[in-house]
Amino acid sequence: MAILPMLRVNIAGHRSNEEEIIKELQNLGVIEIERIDYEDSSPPEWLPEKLAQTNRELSRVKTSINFLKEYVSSKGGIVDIFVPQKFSFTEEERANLIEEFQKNSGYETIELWEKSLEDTKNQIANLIQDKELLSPFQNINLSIKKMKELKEIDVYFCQAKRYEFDSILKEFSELLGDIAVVSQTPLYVFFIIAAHKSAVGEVKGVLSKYTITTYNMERFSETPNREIERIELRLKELEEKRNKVLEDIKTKGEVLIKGLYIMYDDYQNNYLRYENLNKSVHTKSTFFLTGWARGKDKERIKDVLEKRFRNLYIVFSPPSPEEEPPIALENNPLVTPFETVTGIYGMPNSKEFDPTPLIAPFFAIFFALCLTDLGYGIILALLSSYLYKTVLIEKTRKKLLRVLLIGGIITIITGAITGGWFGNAPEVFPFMRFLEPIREKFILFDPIKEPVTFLVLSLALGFIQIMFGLGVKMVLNFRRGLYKEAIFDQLFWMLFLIGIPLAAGTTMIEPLKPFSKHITYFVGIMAIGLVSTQGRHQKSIVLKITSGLGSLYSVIGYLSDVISYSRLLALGLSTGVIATVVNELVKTFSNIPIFGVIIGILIFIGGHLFNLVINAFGAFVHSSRLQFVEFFTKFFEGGGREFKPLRNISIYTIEKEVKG
Amino acid sequence: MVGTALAILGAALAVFGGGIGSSIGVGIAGQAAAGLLSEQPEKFGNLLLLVAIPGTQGIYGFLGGFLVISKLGLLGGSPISPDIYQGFQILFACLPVSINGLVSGIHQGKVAASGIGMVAKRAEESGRALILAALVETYAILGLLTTILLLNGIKL
Repeated sequence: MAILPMLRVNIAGHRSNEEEIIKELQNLGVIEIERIDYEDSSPPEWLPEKLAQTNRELSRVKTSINFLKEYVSSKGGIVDIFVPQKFSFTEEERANLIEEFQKNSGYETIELWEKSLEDTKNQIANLIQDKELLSPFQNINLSIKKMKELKEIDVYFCQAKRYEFDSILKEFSELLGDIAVVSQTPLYVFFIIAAHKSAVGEVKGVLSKYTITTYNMERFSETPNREIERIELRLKELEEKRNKVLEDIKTKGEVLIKGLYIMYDDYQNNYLRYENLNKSVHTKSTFFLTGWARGKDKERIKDVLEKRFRNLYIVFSPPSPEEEPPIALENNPLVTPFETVTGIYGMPNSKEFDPTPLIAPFFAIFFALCLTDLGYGIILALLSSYLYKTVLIEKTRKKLLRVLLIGGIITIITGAITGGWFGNAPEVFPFMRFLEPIREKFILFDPIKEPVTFLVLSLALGFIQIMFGLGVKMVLNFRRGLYKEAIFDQLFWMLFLIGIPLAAGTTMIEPLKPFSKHITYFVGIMAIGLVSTQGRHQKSIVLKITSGLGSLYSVIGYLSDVISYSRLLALGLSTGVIATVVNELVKTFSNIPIFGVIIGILIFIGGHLFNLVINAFGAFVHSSRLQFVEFFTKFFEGGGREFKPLRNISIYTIEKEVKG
Repeated sequence: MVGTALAILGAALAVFGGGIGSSIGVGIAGQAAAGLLSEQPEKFGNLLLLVAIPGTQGIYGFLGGFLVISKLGLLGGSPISPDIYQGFQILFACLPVSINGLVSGIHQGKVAASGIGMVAKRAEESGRALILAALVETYAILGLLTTILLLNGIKL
C-alpha cells in the first residue's frame, strides 16, 4: 500500500549517444523527463525539421487510415463501439506487415483507390443529372444534333410553370415560331420552341418575362431516348468499376490498414522521442537530462544504460523537500484495481499516502449493496472476467473490469442475503421453483418488505466510514506531531458523534436503559469539550466561546454526510423493484399461446440485462461519489501529479503477450 | 373510488415528473454529445454514459409509480380501494420523487452537457464529468427514498 518513493535522476553523456539513450529509456519506460529551460542550450539542428517531418508522416498515415477504415470491417463487434479495440502483433508480424505495405506501395494504392472512387462518384452524379434532364424530353424522336444543325431555326428546350403556360402560348402565337408540349407534371410543363433565327430577340424577351428554364443540350447529339440508354449503359459500367475497386479494397485493404496502424504508432513514438530530446540541455558535445524514476527501478536503469553506453553519468538523488515528485502507486493485486477510483478523483500529493487500500473494501461493499442480486452478481463476474481476457487494450486500462469482477462477487453475497435472484424469479417461475428453498435459506431480510432495515444498514455503514475517515486523520495528525489537532478536532468529534446514536439507542432499547444516563452525560461532556476547544484559534475569550458553540453546528454536516449513504438503499431497492417488474412482464407475456415463451425469454434476457447495466453504472458512480465527497473530505488532500514515464505508447496496436 | 383515483394520480405524477425531467436532461446531453460525435466518433463509449446519466430520474419515477401500483394491487389479483384520506396520502407521498426528479433531471442534463464539453478536450476526464453529474442526482435519490419510505408507511 503505498505511493512509491521517487528518485530524481540526472543523466549526462556524449551527444552522439543521445538518440540511442532516449530510445533505450523509451523502451524501458521508467523515466519521466523534465524540461530544462536553458538559454544557451544548442539542440541538434536537425531536430525541428525532424519533428515537422514526423508530423507530416503522421497526418499522411492518419488520412489513409481514415479513408480505409470506412471500407474495411473492424472485428471488435459491439465492444468496439465502446472501447476501440487494438491490434496485437508480435515483432515479426509487425515487420512483415510493414514490408507487405511497402511491397504493395501502400500509399499509392490507397491514393489510387481514393481517387477512382471519387471520380466514379462524381461521374455517376453527373450522369444521373443528365438523365433527369433528358427524361422529360423523352418523347422527341429527333436527334438533338440535327435540331442544332438546322440553318434557319433555333430550338429551345424549356420548362415552365403550369399556370403561366397559357399566357406563354398566347405570346408565342404572335411570333415567328412554333411551340410543342413534350410532357407535363402536376406543376410544370416541358416543351420545345422552334423559332426562326431572326426572332431571337423576341423569343428571348418572352423567355425572360416568365419563369422559364431553358436547358442546354449542347453535349447531347442523338435522340433523348438513345441518349438515356447510353447513360444507363455507362452508369452500369461505372457501378461495376466501383464495385471492383471496393472488392479490391476489401481483399487488400485489411493488410494495408494493419500496416498503417503499425506505422502510425511507430511515428507517434518517434515523435514522442524527439519531443523529449528537446527537453534536455545540449552543449557542443554533451547533453544533460533530468527527470524522475521510481526508486525500485534504479538498479535496472543503471544496469541497462551502463552496460550499453560508455561516457555516461547517471546520478540518482532523493527529492529535495521543496520538490513535488510525480506520484506512482503500487498495491497488492486485490487493491490495485481500485486505483481507477482513486484516479478519477486525482492522485494524492507527495506528502500524503495512497488512500486506495482504504476505499477498496468500502467501495466494493457499497457497489454490491446498490445491486443486491445474486444473479446479477454472477453475470457481472463472468462477463467482466470474459472481457478481461478478450478485450485488446493495455492492461492498465483493464483495471475497471477487475473492479467489476470483485464487485460482482460481493454482489452474489449481498444478493443472497436480500433474496434477489433475478429479482423474485424463483418465486414467479415454476421451472425455477426448486431454487426457492435455497433462496429462503440465505435470505436475511427482504428490502422491499423491510426497507427500514436496509436504511439502517446503509446509514450504519456510512457512519462507520465517516468515523474511519476521522480516525485516519487523527492518526495522520499524531504522526505529524499535531497532537492538539488530533485530540480536539478528531478524537473529541469521534467520541461525541459515536455517543449520539449510542445515547439514542440505549434510551430506546429496554434492557440497555440503565446505561443511557451515563452515555448522555458522556455526550454532554464531549459537547462541552468541543465548545471549549474548537474556538482555540480565536483571540478573545468571548470569541473563543462563541466560535466553540458555533462549531457544534458541524453536527449538521456530519448528519448530512451520513444521510447521503441512504442512496445505497434507494439504488439497491430500485434494482430489486425493476427486476420484479421485468419478471412480472415476462409472466404476463408468456401466457400468450405459441409465441409467449419466446417473447418471455426475450423480455427476461433484455430486461434483466438492461437493469444490470443501468444499475451497475449507477452503483459505480454513486459508490465513487461516497468515497470522494463523504470520505475523502475527512482526511485526503490530493493534488498530486501522476507519474507518466516516457514509454512506447500504442494508439492502434499493442505488443502481443508472449506466453512463456 | 375517489381514493383509488387519487392514488393513481400520485403514480402518474411520479412517472411523468421523473420522465419529463429525464427526457429534457437526456435531450440536452444528447444534443451536446451528437455535436461532439460528428468530430470525434471514437468517443462514443465515453459519451454514452454521460448522456445516459440524467436518464435515471425517469427510472426512479417509474419505480415510485410501480410501488403505488403494486400497493393498490392493480397488477392482477384483487385491487384494494383506499379511502379518500389514504388516496391523498399516497398522492402526496409521490410528490418528492416526481418534483425532485423533474428539476434534478433537467439540471443534471446541463451538468452532463458541460461534462461532454470537457470530454471533447480531454477524454481521460470523463470519470470526473460523471461524478459531477452524479452530485445532482443525489437529490433525485433522496426524493425517491422519501417516497419509498412514505409509501411503505401508509397502511391500507
